[in-house]
Amino acid sequence: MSGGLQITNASKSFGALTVLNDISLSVDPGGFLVLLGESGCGKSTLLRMISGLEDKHEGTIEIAGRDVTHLDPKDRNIAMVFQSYALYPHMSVFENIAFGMKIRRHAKADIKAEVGRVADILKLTDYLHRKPGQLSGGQRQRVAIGRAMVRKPDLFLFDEPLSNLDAKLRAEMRTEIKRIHQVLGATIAYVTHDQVEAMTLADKIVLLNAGRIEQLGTPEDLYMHPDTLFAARFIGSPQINAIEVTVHVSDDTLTAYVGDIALALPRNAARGIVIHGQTAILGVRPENLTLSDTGPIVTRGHGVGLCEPMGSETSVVLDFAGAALRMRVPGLVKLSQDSTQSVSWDMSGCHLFDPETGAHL
Amino acid sequence: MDFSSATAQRRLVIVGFLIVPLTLLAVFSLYPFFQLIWFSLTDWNGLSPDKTFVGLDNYHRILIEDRALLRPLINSGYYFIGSLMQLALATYFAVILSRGLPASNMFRMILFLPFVLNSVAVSIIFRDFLQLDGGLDALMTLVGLGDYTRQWVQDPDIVKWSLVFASIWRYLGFMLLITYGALQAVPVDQYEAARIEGASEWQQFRFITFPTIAPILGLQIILATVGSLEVFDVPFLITGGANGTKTFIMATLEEAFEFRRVGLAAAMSIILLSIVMVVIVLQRLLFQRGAVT
Ligand SMILES: Nc1ncnc2c1ncn2[C@@H]1O[C@H](COP(=O)(O)OP(=O)(O)OP(=O)(O)O)[C@@H](O)[C@H]1O
Ligand SMILES: [Mg+2]
Repeated sequence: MSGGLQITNASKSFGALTVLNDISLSVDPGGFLVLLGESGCGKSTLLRMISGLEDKHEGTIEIAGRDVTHLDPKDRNIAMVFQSYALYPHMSVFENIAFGMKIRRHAKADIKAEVGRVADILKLTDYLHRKPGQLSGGQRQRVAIGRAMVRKPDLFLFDEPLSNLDAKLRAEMRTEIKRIHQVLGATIAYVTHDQVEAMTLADKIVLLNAGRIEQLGTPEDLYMHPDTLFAARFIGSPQINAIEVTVHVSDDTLTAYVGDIALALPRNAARGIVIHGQTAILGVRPENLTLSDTGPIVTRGHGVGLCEPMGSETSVVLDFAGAALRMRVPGLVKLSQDSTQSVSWDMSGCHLFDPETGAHL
Repeated sequence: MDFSSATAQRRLVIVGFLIVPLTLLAVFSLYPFFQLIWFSLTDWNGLSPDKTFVGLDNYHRILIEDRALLRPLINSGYYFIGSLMQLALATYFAVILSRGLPASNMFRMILFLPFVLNSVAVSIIFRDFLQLDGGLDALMTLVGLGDYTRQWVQDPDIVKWSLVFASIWRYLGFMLLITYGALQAVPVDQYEAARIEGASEWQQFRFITFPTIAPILGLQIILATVGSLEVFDVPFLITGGANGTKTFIMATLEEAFEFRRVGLAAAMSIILLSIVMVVIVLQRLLFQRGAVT
């Protein structure tokens, strides 16, 4: 019943300002697409373009195999959950959820049954007679989702639905949305700037940067095989270490030099040809570093910058030739500011990026 | 008193700020009001130094003996109907304007302009406009409706509606502005959500706009009712009350200053005031029940 989504060469400008630039992507039926990116990169605009609220754009949009580029929002058979919820304040929860069905002239009994079913899934049954003003943020959120669920749309659109919630509720609702996705088997396009949401929910992530697709792929792709330094930096917390190095190539081995410290790299650190003596940015994830002085690659004498206990682990920042070296240490660790530490490097998942373009070498 | 403590200072500030408005209220509203009540119980003619207390005689006369004095109130009905049409028009224009029409600023200006014009000027314009062979007739002849011209001001059946029309024209902008302001308070995303759910323009108005601005419309109906009971400037300046266009306020003024029956006029004012209060209370009760909370 639910079909996919296909966007071809879509661009959008507001006057002279080009907000989206040549976006092409496709989502399989039942897929969960996450639009990820910094504030102002055009995520909402893209979502609104899919919904039809933003017209006058270039390119084509297909929903469930139907070209909807020139259709009105109401004819696209979509449901949207707004970041602001956009609930109708003068209607009860029941009326809010029932609104779309009422507009489409469904029978009263059907509406009642359907709203009841949805309220059950979303645990809203006890609140159906209340007005949105009398609900907590999380409950409003669920009403907004419920409003989308009573329709049987080809595509669900979510615009940062969880951004107004506290951490605990956000985690709960994330699970809830995942569950709804599985139960309904619906196709979803979901906007967020939160990488955890993106990683946990998505089948496919579109990382947007200033209106362009920076990378398109599965969460694993983006995390393990970032195409650009921007993608590598955007995903992962703490952020990936980006160290400026000089690469030496001899025979078939790569070695990165930071000053006179040599770091041997696996051949797959670069995807293409690397020129001997070229400068590059070496990307190493914090979890690939351990506090230890044994291992194939060990550097010594790092000063301690910052020690942030996170609970199950500690986020540590060390000094590395004047730059910050972020790492994650299991457990609660307190490192003395005066001490120096040794670090063992696991280079199997490292990346080399072009310092100018940021592209993977 | 210890003026240094925060509470004492706050009290001082509150009292200080209240003194002026309370004094003004007492001198220019409360005192005249009580004096008006007192006058209404006398046979004062407005000039002579002495007046006699006559009890409720004045009220008895207006309400029971000489009901003709109340007749001008019927005219308020026309203005009330007019102001309902005006409210509908104002809402219609406000909705259109807030939908981001091209040049909507200019249209808003044009619609609001009559309200900032001076009443006297507006009425004089209308007097000439509605005259026999005046502007309206000329206009109608020009567009080929010459056969339909009427004695707009002279015909007693038509003149009331002519005046109502002038009134609508004059106060439309004011209502428009209030409604327009209320419309700005409806978040755009509610309309967008409704559009996605398939609501037509009319359904968006019916289910989103209307419930949101209903309290303001209710307020405007109260204002319109009170306004139509107290109509004065437009008919006074255009017809001077001729041809059965006298309103209750005009009749009151006539009693007071032409026939020199200030006591009676005072009683008429008090009666009007009571009617207005009853209307307000009734409407509040009505709207509170129907209102969306
Ligand atoms: N109606 C508009 N007119 C002009 N510029 C706009 C309009 N809407 C959005 N923009 C601009 O387009 C860019 C992208 O906006 P958009 O709302 O899509 O960002 P976003 O990625 O959703 O950001 P956020 O995460 O903060 O919600 C921004 O620079 C914004 O200023
Ligand atoms: Mg946004």
